[in-house]
Amino acid sequence: MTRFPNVALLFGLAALGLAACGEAPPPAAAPERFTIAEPGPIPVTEQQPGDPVAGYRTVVNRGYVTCGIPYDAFRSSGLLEAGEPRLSGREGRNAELPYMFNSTVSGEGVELVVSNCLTCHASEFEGELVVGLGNPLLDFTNDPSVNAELLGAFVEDGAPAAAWAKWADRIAAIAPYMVTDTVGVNPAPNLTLALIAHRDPATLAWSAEPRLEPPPREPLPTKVPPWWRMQHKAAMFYNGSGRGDHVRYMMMKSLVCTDDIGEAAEIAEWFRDVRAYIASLEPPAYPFPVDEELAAQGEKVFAGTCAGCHGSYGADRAYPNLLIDLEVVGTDPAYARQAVESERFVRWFNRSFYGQGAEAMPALGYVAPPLDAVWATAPYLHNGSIPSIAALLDSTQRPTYWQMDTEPRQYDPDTLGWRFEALEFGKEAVEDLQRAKRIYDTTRHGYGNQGHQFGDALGEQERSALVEYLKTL
Amino acid sequence: MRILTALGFIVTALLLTVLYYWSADPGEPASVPEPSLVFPVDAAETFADPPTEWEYRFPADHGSHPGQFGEYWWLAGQLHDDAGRARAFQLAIYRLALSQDRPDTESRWGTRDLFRGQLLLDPGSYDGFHADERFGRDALGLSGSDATGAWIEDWSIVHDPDCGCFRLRASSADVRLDLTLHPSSPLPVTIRGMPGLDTPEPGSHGYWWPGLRVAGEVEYQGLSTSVAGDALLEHVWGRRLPVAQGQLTTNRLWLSLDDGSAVRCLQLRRRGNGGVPLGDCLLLVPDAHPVRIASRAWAPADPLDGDYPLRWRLESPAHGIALEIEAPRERAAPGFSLPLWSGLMQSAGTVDGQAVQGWGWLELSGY
Repeated sequence: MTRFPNVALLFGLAALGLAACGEAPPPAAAPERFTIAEPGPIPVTEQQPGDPVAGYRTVVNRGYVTCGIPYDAFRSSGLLEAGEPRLSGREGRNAELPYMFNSTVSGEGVELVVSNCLTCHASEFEGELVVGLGNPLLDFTNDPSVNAELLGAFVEDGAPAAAWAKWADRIAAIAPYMVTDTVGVNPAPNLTLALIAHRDPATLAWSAEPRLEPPPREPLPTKVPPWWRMQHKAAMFYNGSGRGDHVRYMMMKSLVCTDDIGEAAEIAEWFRDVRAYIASLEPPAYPFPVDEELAAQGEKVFAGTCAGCHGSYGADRAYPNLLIDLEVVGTDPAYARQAVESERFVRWFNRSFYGQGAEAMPALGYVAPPLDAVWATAPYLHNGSIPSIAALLDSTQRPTYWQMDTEPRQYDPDTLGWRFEALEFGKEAVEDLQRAKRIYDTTRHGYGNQGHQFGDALGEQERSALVEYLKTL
Repeated sequence: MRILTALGFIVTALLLTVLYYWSADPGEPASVPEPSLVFPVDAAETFADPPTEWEYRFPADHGSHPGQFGEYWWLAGQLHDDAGRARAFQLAIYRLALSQDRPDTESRWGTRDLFRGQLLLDPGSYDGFHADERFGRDALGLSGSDATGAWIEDWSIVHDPDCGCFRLRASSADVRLDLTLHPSSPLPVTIRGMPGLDTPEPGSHGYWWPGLRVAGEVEYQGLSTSVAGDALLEHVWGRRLPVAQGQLTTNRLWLSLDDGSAVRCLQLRRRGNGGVPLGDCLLLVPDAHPVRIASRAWAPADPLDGDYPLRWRLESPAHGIALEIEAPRERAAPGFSLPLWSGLMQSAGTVDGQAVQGWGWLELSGY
């Protein structure tokens, strides 16, 4: 028996300050400007060059989050035993840590265990840990400040205590803005806005009291998108607001602890390579049999129904980077609208170090994403409201209330999603709080599963062929 | 809340280390293993967490729960003697198991449970107070626990089913307590795990029973007087019992107010200033269910400076509560083997807009 056996908790601690190694908050516009982008093609910006190999080394070894848990406390609490270090390329102390943690040393010489990007951006598929695949099982339904504070029981006096207190204080500051009511959805945008609220845009200095009005307490749900899309995307984030230099968005996880421009600049240098690594990632191949004949029929359906927005694949690959108007796509508008209404955060971003070279533009729309290995990325839509592609393509099959089967989690090759149970009732009908947290309720604000009903016009055979084709991407 | 498992192990390891070093005296048979810092953790790990929900059965649950790793019976009260002199007392008995089963030996030295007791008598004056601490083990019949309660030599807290009351007996150098405690409510308030953490697996169960009517005798410095008063009992069992560790202090408060309401707070809080206090307070008003008050409502009245904070506030506008809580006079920590401050408090303020006052007990550790 381990002394600290809970992997879910491990993820929870690692995720503290997960703000954006990929999909983060809707950021801002050009300096001193607040521009709402119009629907249409998003212009491609040339990205900084970098070394993908060095980038991976940074992702899994370096302390780009610069505050965390003193190593001795991490070990004493039993956290070391709670996750397997299953990644290649882990160096030194990193090799013994669970994969969602990296090792670093604070300026005061305290060895720290800090969270890394893979808390959210790695997930298992058929027993394999897939780096870049968003984790659809993370549980943000508990107040993270509780565990951060409890870890103090294992921290020694002196410099380790000060290091732990800094980290725990940051977690306490953002905790009220990152507790979701549903397991599996991700609060990264909201917690990033909460971090921004505490920082001076010019110096990045942390203020114990918010300098800006904080975001709403209830985070909107988002799904963690796959990293391998980034080699095709002109702008980051579901609403395409992350325009310009992607490095500055990808490094925003450092907002948790980085309190000065010098440190931020060093991390930005590292993240030139990280961006190159993320852009180099290739999607995994579908691991189950594919009916090639049916898939070929599906390719034609795709070309006629989907390719206009999502692009074409194969030898004639083309991706249009289209921002689709909310009125057209019809999916839940809350995320896009909140970004547009977050002007103070947009302006902060543009004035800050993070906005240098980056031009963020929220928009009343969503980007039609590249669909490489889309079969691996359930649940679907930006809020993860639809459990399978089959349901995405036939809106009559979308459950209003549903719960993913998690013991064990099982992939359904027929529907391209994780097996789930459709329910006749929402959270309110369930007394057991733990069970209620696992129910996805699409009637809640931001959780809607409407829109993107383009598959409804297809016949059953066409949809079946289309599903088969999507397995080949 | 698995981190509490880890915390609980550390906590129990500390307690057991103290107890075990004590138990391994040179006169014992060689069959007793050598003291080991690892040993207590191993002992704790042989016990499962208690069930998520406990089916309370009284009076059985007043007695010992040998299937649980740790347990304590904790009594404190305020008394007045015939001459109107105030007295306050506390007797707590802690039990921790070394193994699931009794040792496979016929030796009378065979030990399964270790015990620690603490006795305090506050004579209600500036002349000081009486504090004593004892360790025991369930060998040779010197200490033990059974279906009625627990004892360490002549210190005991037991339930008497004939009267439905509890009996406390304890003698020390110049103190003797012989008290009978009658509940004024039919059932105690059940408590589950570390409050406020919403853990699916609570780690402990137990109950808090305020409003016990006390009668009996107290002898102090050779003067024996009849006393009467008010007391509270807390009895908890499980694998995870709250004790301070690392940067976290443990703060516990019980209040008994003159409008019939009572408060119980349990809080983990940083030893320094700042941080998020964990735990909660329960407010019990007559003829109503207990109400939970978030832990942030209970805080030291002054910035922490390394000493035990003896002035506190409990403020919850949502519940109409504003109480000042302070020790009636300066008093040093009792000097137990586990550093802690434990003693009588007085409280005044408002509950639900009505002026109240009362007595309480504060226990602080980890400072």
